[in-house]
Amino acid sequence: MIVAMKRLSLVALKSDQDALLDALQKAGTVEIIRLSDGDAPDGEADEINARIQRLSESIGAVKPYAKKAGFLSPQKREMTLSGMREYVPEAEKTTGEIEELLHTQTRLLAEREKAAATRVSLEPWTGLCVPMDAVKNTSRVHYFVGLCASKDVPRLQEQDYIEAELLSEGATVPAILACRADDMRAVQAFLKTIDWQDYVFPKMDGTPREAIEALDRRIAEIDREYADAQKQLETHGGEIETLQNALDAETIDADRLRARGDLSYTAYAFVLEGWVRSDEVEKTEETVRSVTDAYSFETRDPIEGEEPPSVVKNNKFVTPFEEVQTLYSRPTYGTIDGTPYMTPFYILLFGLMLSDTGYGILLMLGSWLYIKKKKPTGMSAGISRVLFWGGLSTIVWGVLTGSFFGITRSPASGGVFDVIAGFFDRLGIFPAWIDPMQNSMAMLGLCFGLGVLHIVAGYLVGAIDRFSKGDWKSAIFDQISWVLITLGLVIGFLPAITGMAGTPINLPQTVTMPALIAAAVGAAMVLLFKGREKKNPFKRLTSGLGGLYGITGVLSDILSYARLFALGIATGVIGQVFNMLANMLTGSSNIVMRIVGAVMCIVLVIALHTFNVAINALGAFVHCARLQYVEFYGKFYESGGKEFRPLSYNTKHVQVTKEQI
Amino acid sequence: MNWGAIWATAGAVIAALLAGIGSAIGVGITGQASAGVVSENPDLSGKCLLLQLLPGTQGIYGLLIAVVIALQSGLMSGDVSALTTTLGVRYLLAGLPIAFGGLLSAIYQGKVAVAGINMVAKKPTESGKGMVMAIMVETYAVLSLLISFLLVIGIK
Repeated sequence: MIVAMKRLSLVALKSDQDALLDALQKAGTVEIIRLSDGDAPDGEADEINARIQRLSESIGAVKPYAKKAGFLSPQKREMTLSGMREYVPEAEKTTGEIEELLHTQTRLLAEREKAAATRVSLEPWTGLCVPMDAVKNTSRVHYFVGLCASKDVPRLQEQDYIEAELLSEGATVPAILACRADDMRAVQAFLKTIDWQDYVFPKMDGTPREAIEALDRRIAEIDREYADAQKQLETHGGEIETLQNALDAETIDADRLRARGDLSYTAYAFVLEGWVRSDEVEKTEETVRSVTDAYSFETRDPIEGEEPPSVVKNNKFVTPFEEVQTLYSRPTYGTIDGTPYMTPFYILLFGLMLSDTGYGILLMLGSWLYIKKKKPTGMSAGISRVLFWGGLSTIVWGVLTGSFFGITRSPASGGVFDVIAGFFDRLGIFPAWIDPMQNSMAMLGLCFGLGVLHIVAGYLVGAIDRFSKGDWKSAIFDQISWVLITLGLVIGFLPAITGMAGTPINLPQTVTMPALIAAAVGAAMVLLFKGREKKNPFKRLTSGLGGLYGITGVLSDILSYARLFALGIATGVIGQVFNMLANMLTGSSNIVMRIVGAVMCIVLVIALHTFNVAINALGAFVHCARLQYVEFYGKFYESGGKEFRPLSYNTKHVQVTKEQI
Repeated sequence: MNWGAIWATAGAVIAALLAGIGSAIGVGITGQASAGVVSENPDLSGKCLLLQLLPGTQGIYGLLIAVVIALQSGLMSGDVSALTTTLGVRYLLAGLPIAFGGLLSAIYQGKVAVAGINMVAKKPTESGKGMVMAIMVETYAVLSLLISFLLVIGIK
């Protein structure tokens, strides 16, 4: 059910503000509404946000070198808030060091790139055997240094006022030209007419060859320094927990500081407006009272136009399934929470889609281990429990339809698998109800039957909700009418439909006639009262006809449950195929090959079935969710509720525990 | 020449082949999108992987129909003497829904999943909605599988 929310107005002294926010954050019961508009400059908050930014960047930098958490180790460490805060100074120091190292690495990389580029540009000049700084203009002689395209070299040599020294051969020829200082302009003009590119020697000592050697030494040195920095960075990987603890502690503080900016102030007091769950009002007031007795604490019901956050509350068994609903959307405040109605159908239909006892056992054991060891919180906590119950249902459906890791009663896979199949055959309870391979029409019928049940339940939930709100017209004309139509048509035409499938279920006319009459009554209700708000009788009738067209929607809703059958078959037959593949390996007549084959068969069976259960559990989870969202929720659910985000400890890595005194 | 066996083989081949191609394309494009998102934020790899897996099922459905055709028609056991041309063509036709339904739905499901992965990059908490959107496309692959399966096991 949806929890009623109360609007809270709390007025207290500014001097108590920090202590109050601290206590409220610990209680985690109030979502604070932003009262002040515009961002008041808050130095403290800016500072802490900058620290959070730096911490996250450092964590990202050293994460690859941190020890990986074990697959089944708990998701979050347990720690007290003051315990977490103790890590902050150390983390500050580590962050500084990591930033320094990253900075050094960036600098080294830039320098290395520059050195490498210089080295490449110097390579053509290795023929020059005088120091580079010796090529220097004097009062009498002017030098030009550059690269000349080889096709223009003859023209260069033709000029009698230029003395050209060519240093190597190739497509572009490095050349040093000397001329009289008076001829400088003439040479410049000439060089523009040929393919000539000026070159400036880097400011380095010695000949180009010596300079290249010096650069090589420098590059090697840079590589060493870089590796050193890298090694130091990697050792910081061991401190990732310190950084994470500090990050969570700082995030908690930042959230509280942000809340401070949401309040509105007078000279000596502050006002806090927020939403509280009606069942947590007392706890909240208790929290306030424990800090100060100078306060005013008032709550009221939400008024028209306000949109309180939507929170649902259910018993322990149903609660995990709230996550399935949240994946779709939260219910609008004041409407109906679908979780308790959806839960039994979810479990039932999930199991039917997997319907293999072996896979059910795997799923149940796997999710149980995950819950016990990993202690998940939030969404994964809910999903893992949903899979646990889904696994149980899968076991039951596996027995009913007769499948155990793809092994059915009828031998098909050969070898040891047929021995097991024979065992099931003697057991006689496998399948206990329907073999979908032998009797697929009956199985398909069962799926459609469950679909009709699901859809009718959806209409009924909507009808009950509207009755309870006093809207009996809508309950009868929009909901009950469709129950009559759906059930009436299905029961009325059951003999005809099943007759087409070859196994007619004959119902006496005393059953089918009233059913068809009920359907007609339902249809008349829709036709006449769908547009009951409209005064114009013609418009009212058109609106009713439009409503009746909804029958096609109901039909396609029912057909949509065919996926139950198809996915069940997919799991079972693929499992069977995998067994067959694995069994082929054991067929050798040579004893050694047989043993090797048997080992490989076992490995293959484990790998293939793990794959099959994983991909089909994913498929079953999502397809089952779709059946809830579209076919079931479509009949009564109003989506679009806002999430409840109270001021609380919102951590990523640490589960905050109570302080021990 | 036993034309029945050839037509039946063609049915098994086209079911596994086209649905497999579809899934390969679908998983391929989602894999590329995932790699892009994960390079920015490695923590999202799990959510991206789930979305990437979704267009992979069509290939499995195609394989399933291929195996059921092979078993049912006797291609697996090697005894195809009873396989007439009519029966063979019926197997071929029965394989077509999952072949084409699988091929196209896997590609389009892949495109929806790519959009879902882009959504995960911006709003990691909404990955479930992306999965539901992709599964809407898969409905038609499931329906193709269903009709192919019913037609194949109806051939006696």
